[in-house]
Amino acid sequence: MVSEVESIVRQIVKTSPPGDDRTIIGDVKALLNNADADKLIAGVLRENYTTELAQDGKKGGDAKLVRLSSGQHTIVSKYNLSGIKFFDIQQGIVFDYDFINGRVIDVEEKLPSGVDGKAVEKLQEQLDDYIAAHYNELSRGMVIPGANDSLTVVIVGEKLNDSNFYNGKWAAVYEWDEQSGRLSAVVKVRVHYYEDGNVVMNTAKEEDLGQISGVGAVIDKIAEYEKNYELSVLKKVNVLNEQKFKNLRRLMPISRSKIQWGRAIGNYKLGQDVAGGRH
Amino acid sequence: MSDEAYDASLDVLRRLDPKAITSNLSNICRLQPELAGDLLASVDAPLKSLKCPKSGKTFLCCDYNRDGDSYRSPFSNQYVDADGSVGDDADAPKPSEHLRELELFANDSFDIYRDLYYEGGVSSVYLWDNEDGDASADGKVGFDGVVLLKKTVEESSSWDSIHVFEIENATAGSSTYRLTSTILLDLSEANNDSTYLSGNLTRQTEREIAYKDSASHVANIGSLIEDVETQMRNMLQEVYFGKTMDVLTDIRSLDALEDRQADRKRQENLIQRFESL
Repeated sequence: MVSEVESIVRQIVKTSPPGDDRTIIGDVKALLNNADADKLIAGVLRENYTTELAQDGKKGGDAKLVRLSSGQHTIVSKYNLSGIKFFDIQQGIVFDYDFINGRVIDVEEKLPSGVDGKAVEKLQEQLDDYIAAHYNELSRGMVIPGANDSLTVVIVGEKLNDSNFYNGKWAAVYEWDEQSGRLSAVVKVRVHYYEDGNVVMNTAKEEDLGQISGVGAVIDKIAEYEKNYELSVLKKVNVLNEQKFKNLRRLMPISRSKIQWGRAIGNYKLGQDVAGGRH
Repeated sequence: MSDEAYDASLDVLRRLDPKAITSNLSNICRLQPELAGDLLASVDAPLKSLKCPKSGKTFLCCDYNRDGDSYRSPFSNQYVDADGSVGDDADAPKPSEHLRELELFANDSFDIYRDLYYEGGVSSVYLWDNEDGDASADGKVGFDGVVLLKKTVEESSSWDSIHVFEIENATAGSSTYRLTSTILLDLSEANNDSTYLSGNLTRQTEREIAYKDSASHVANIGSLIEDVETQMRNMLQEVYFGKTMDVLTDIRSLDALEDRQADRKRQENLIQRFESL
């Protein structure tokens, strides 16, 4: 049974902006104000990043970048989870993550048994090249081998800039099934701008990308899909500007000159042609 | 502790997805029931509306025309319950006699403003007497108020303006107008579309303007709100369509970065060649 408090914390975590986790965690702790707050929040955060949360209508849970003591970044997601620990094939480590304090802990230089890095080495190189060419420095891509030669590609790109009041995250998961040759995609992007306000651009998409000729074509297909997806978001936002925003409030009044306030305002006629007239 | 929880509530509501502001606000009120009153009064959420049973017209609701669960209609000056019936408002606050006249004038004025800028939507203005006493016709005793505007298009996008103002030091022929303006803007192509732009911007403005009488306070407020709202519309456009898209293309660049770097190099070479001519 999920308690009411826990479901509220879930909703808060689900609607949290990218980056700046510490502030949100601190606020929620102050709101809960009890000794078990840390445990509850950590549990909800872990659940958010390690399970299939279908609340937002898109599968795949959430993924985020976390920093290793080496300064390198790695990913926390349900896809590179084995038992209770996360793994990073490229760096050859398993690790745990302290969600409350935002720290990678218990790093061990080994990989879970059955996880074979060799099998995806070449694909990982292709992915690294693609990430380097298209994503800013704070980004990681992981190729994770699954059962029966299937594989998962996780991409997390972040741009965090609290000092200028904005943060953004692109998190994408691609699953390739060797048997059927089908590639599927889940992309979630959220940009948060919060200077003198609180503005979010959110987009999420779950899609079947169809059959791919072979494993060698997976990264090229992802690159092509991501480009098209990003273009479609830019286009959609432009349509929102042209068709919705402009219909909400005009920049200039219909009369094309500023309003004559005061008692004479009664000279304007409601809903009728005024001065310059409607157009 | 209560102060700490209050600050934390405001802080977290300033950061969480603004699209979910209404449910997050009610959730946090459930966590901290004793803060609910203060939170509902100070956190801006999309405006609700009610129908005035007397005039049949729609008016907007906010904490400033609320008494318990009912809201004062700017048309009839009566409090209306959620079910649309006229409530018992014997003890509910109402503006003084002269201020009520000004309130009607302000509502008519902003109705014109709404028509000219919004070509639709709803506007409501509520005024209340301040600590200096009942508003006077000569304008020397000012008043406080709120101007609300809301427009929704195709049920998927909406604009809510909330302008709270105070008129101070109305003594020497000019007074100080203090305005806090919040605009909530929610844009998407269809309801429940996972692609959306949603949020709010707040801006505070203080201006000293000459006045003649109490009606000129309304004119001054009108003109000030007209300016501020137009500036904020530009800010919204810049933030929603400029900044958020910049961050998106910063995270993932459409062109390969090496291509961009190569372009930049070519450009630099070109400039050098021009300079050496």
